[in-house]
Amino acid sequence: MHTVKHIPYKITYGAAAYQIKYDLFFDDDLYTRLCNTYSDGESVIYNGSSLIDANPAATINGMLYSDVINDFYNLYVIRNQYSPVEASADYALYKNILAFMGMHYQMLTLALDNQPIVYNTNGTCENMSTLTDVTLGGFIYENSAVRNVSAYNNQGVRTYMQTSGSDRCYIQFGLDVFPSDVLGMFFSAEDHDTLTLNITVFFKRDGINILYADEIKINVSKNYSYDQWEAKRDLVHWNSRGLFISTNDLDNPYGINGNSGLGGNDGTLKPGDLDSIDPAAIPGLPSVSAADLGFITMYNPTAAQLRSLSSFMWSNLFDLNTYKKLFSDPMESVIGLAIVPVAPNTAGNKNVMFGSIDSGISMPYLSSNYVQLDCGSVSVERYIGSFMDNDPYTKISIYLPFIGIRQISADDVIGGSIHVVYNIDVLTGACACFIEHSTRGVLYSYNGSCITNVPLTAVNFSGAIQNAVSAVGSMMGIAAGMATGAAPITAMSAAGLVTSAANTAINSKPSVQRSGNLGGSAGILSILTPYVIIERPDVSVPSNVQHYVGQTSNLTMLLGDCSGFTMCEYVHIDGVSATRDEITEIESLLKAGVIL
Amino acid sequence: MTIQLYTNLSDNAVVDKNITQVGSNITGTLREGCSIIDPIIKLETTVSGHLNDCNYAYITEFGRYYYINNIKCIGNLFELHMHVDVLKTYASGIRSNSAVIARQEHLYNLYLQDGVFKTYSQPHIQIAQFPNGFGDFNFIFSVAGG
Repeated sequence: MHTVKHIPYKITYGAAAYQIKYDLFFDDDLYTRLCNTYSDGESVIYNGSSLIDANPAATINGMLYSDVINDFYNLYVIRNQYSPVEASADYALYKNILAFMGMHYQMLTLALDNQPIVYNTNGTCENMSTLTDVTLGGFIYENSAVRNVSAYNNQGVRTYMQTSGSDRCYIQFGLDVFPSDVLGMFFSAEDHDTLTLNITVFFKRDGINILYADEIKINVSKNYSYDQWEAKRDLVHWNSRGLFISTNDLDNPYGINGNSGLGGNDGTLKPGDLDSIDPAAIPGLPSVSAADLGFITMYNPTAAQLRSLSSFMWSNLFDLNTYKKLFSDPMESVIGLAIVPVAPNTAGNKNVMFGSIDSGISMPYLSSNYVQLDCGSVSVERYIGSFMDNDPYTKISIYLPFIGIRQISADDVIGGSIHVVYNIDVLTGACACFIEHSTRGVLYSYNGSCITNVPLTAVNFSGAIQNAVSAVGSMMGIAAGMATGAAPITAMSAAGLVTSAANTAINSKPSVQRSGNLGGSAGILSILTPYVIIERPDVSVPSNVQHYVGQTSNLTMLLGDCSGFTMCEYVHIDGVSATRDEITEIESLLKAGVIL
Repeated sequence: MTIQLYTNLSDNAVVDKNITQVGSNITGTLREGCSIIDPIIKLETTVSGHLNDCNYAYITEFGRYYYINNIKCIGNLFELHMHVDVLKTYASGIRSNSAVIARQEHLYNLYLQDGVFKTYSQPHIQIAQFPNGFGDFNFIFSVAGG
């Protein structure tokens, strides 16, 4: 039985904070073999269709390099018809992102060329930040009709892997997210009949906009035909854009095949589908409008035009006898006058008509009573790079005009951007506010009222006053409550959290309601631009704390693969000729933490 | 019986102790009953010149490393109270076992909940306005018909 080694890596490079994370699992035998060196210190080049043997006379483990090539053919590629990224603004940024692995002093090192390289074939260069422990270059798939493979050594010199010394390349791993392209792996396994590969690949840009996430777990044999490889592909679980594989542990109960065994039933939902997202878009405006019907007409007058209209209505020019054939009162034909905080959609100018009476006063009229206001987007970035970027440690609230301040979940939005759009009915003042996440779509929607009715009659006026008093009363209630300590303060839920000083402190913080309802006139008198309030914990991290207490791991590991502080959650010591008391003490010490 | 006395400069939690042998091997005969987990060994004073530097030992016959927890003077004898160091003794066997690792110095995932973190009382507060808002005030005058 082979022991699988887990080698997690994470690299952040470039101003755009791309992140590429590889979690690599290698069969123990393969790992051992990878530590061997070829006799001539050279490697193999894959040119997209075949392997180029730089030196056929080279040997490894006594085998001619040229013989090894055949085995490469049997093992090297898992073909993937996966098309992870549609054409998008980000698409160009992710084309041909490459990462390479190599070996340096018996350690696998994820290596990127430390020199500026052209990896985006549309001509833009991306200057990757310098990585100090680059041991080798790698292949670059160039996005061209003929797929060429180039290689760079760690001096940034283009080469065909003419490496030397420790500059070895034993595994080449090329990724190209170009649609219908291949996910290629090729490695030396010349005398290894079967092996298990588990590779998890994330392409992340801002922590949440994952454009590419794949997880591969596959048992293969070097004798497989291509068709057998294809069949094996069924074991590969592919995820699509927007998904996040958060658990990389081989012992993840939501493993690749999704079978949980007795007691847990056999779920049919694939692991990646647990977080599937079919984002809801912000709705457009209704296709029909009250303005289309002819029963009412809405105008968008200036104050001067309204003054002229008022003068006309109360002047002798207004033919009351003609008007009374339709209405008993001049005001009966007036539906309302209101102030709205947005520019309505107008269709032109025409004279205001009261029944059959032409006022002779021209003003813009509305083509629709619906208006959409796009408030733009704000990024909500991760700061700490840990679980504390999420709820309940990071708290996010948003002020929405005419609605007030609302809490939104950091889990929902952190690492992305939020986009606020209002759909407004200027006839009634009703507004629907949508908060859209950059990849998850509309996550929140609220309603409010954004109109201030201007009274035109005594009846209108008393109604308006009544409404205003009600609104103020509501606000006063909130204000008074806050002043007397009866503010709506709710302690945060501690459910599911581990007990700690940090958690205790955070949970003891009250969550204070920052505003009440701000509809109607009160809303117009308030702040009219939305804003977001992000409250992040200020984490105190002692220097080198991981040396003293480690960091959370939750991986099943061979203890021999661990170095430094190691604390076991579960361990059963086998194969040691110690007394029972000693084994109990060993297990106790491992659970308390040892330094390996 | 052969005993090697050492100076151990490492914490007990360290598997591979930083030990330096003190003096030469001590040989003798075990004359009383003795636990191999918590042995108590009496030494003659002829080796006492080194004892003040000794806090660690290896007993060849027992095949185990020991912490010297206490040294008592009994007449012209020094009585060493020891306890087995299971980590050093079984280091290779321990390393050949797998375990679910709760915390690790180099292999970790910071997105797992961790009660070790501490936070200052004053959080960071970022306030960001959206680029656009309301503010283009307009009148809406509605009439029947028209």
